[in-house]
Amino acid sequence: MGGAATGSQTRPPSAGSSAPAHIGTDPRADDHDPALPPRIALLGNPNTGKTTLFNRLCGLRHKTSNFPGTTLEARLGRLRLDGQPVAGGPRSDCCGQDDAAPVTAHEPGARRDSVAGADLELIDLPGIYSLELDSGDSDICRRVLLGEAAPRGDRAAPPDGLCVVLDAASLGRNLMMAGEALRRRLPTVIAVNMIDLARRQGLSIDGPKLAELLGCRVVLISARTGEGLTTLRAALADLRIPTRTAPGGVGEAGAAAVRRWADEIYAQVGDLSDPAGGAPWDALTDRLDRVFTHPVGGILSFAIIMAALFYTLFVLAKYPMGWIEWIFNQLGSLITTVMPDGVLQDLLANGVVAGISGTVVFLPQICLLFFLISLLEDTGYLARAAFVMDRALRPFGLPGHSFVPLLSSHACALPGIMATRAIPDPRERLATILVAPFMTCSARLPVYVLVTTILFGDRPGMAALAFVGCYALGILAGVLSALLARRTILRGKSRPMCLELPTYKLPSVRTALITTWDRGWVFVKKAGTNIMMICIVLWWLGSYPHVQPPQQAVQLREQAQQLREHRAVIEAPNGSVEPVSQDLAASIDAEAQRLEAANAKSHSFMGRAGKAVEPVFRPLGYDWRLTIGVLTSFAAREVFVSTMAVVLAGEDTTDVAEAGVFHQIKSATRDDGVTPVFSAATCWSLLVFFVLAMQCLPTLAVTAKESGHVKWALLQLGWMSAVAYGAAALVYRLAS
Amino acid sequence: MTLPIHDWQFWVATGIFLFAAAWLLRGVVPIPFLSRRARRRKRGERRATLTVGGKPVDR
Repeated sequence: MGGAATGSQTRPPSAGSSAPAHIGTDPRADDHDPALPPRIALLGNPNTGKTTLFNRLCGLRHKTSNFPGTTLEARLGRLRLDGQPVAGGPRSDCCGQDDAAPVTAHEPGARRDSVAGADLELIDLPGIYSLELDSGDSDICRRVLLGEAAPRGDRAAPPDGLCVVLDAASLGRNLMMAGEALRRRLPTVIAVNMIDLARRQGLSIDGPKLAELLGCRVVLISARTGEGLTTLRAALADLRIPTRTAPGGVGEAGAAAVRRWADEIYAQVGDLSDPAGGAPWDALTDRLDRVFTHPVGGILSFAIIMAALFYTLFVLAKYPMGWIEWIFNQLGSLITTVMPDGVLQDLLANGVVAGISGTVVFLPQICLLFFLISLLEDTGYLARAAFVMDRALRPFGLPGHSFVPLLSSHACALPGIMATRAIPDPRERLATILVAPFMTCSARLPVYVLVTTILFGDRPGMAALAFVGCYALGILAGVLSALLARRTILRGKSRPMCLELPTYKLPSVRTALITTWDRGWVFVKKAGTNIMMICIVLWWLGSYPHVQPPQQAVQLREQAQQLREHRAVIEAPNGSVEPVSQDLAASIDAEAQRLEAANAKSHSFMGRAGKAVEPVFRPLGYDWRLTIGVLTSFAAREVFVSTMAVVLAGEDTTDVAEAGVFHQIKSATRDDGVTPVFSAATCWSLLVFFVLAMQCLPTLAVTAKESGHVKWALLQLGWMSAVAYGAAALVYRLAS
Repeated sequence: MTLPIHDWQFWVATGIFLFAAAWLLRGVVPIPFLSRRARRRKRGERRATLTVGGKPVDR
């Protein structure tokens, strides 16, 4: 197990932050709005399980992981105390002041009597190593405790109480945070979390002794299993100002005094009573870390783990994908059967159903990916990957701190860009913001899946390899762009990263399922709202205005009609049908239908717009249909597949309801009726374009906000678009 | 090149198209009944963005 280090600078001394803020008084007694429930702040080191506890207490499910710095913003949640044993309830693990005494409003230091039986509001703060550090997260926590910061719309006031969350397995270091909290003189309870893990490691903690030394209530809990939470609820409803405080002072001297105080307390309460209990666990951790943090072995194992993850994804996801496609095919058939022919039937079958199925069919891939990554994250492995990648990132001018934002960007660039707030150096932060959208986000996955499946059909191994290649290309483009930026417009040295390596844990399937459900639901909601609306708009623009059928199609129809009449003549004498003529007539009709549909789409509002822009994308191998797909994907990347489903619907003579959307897309041909829309060269070009292009308006908005100027967003858009265009054109030329 | 204005289904489809277009533009153009902010207010959600003096905290 790794130790902890912050590597951050000590905050310059300031009177407001180091001096006790509100000694011996209830800080919100005068300015508390009685309409608001009392507010309690959750404070603690990173990765101590604050958000897991917050979710448990408030019945919420914000993102948690076995990775420091998962919480980026303060969050509010309501803790309902109705029906909970506020006083005199079970307190098996609660240690500290007057445990059995009922709460009264007039006790010195006791909370208002209105607290009992009412709701509490919890504020989940980002994890910090100290309130005195010069970092954005420490500043946020400091301001919240001083009553300078409040959720938007609220009057700023200090919280009514503090719940300091400590990691039982790293209690010695975590006690320093407790010391800083005690000096704030706010009503406080200490929650020693992950007590189950500490026990497994052979560590026992003397709760009553700890409560005596800290002068406040101490509850031993496990937020994951729910152990001790009833007691904690009761303690939260009965908060008191601690009877003791911790030594302090400004700068290094103050930090050293708190460290000594924490060490002394830990020596009295922490006991490795069963050294054998922790030995196998530690030995396993050391053995794993020897591989996962090795300069070569670490990178190799990272590549193998990611390749295995994607292979599993392709192998397992194809079954539910088939089921979903079947369901949508049945739905399409039902619509064409039940509804009479006409505009509305076409809108529903070829606009709504085809469009939505084009996106929803990839739901299993998205869910499976997030499930597997969540399991991996929960084991504690990703922190090791960050450690290994730090060495790889530094030569490119990016700090190790960039790993977490870049990793987050693989889910979505928005939280990734916001996570750059943890990077202390403004130039390094800006460089990370600029390159974060190069990382493969989940919105790109449907496009990757579509194109790699067209390219590699039933070879999941090759498809997985292409998938990993897309991820690798995005990372490579990102770090090379960062290197360029750091050598030109953002010059400066990189800082080394200090990261706490969390303990390895067995992954929580519940957490993984919650994450999967949340991500899947967001995806389905998007498909059911925005993507459906885009499909409807595209359908209308692709259906109107009506045009006369082309001359060639008219002639073909006449030919087919003549053949049928000829068949009728042949049928008369001997009662048989000439099979060749029948088949020929049908195929000529089908060709006429294809020409009519292609002509109608080509002259529609959408076709005209696509043709106007087509010359721009011709060097990349895209016809007007793909041009429409690429243009709409600037609103959201995943819209591409749905757009293609709508744009290409009806052009193939096979029915969407019979063949499925994927077949329609794969077998669609260009205006000449021979060249596939998705040729091999075009597929490679598309893959490269989608890996590198900046096609996300919300990301641009966040970049402008976080960087402080719109010029950086425009630079990001211009650079990424230019790189994507150039690389895709090159790949198309090489592949064709 | 014509629009089938005599077909009632065309008008229904066009109505749906206009609603969809309005839905997509609601972030850019203020449309009272579709605006995200209005719906959020209705659900009584609260954002936890921290502010100092009513302004976002400079991080």
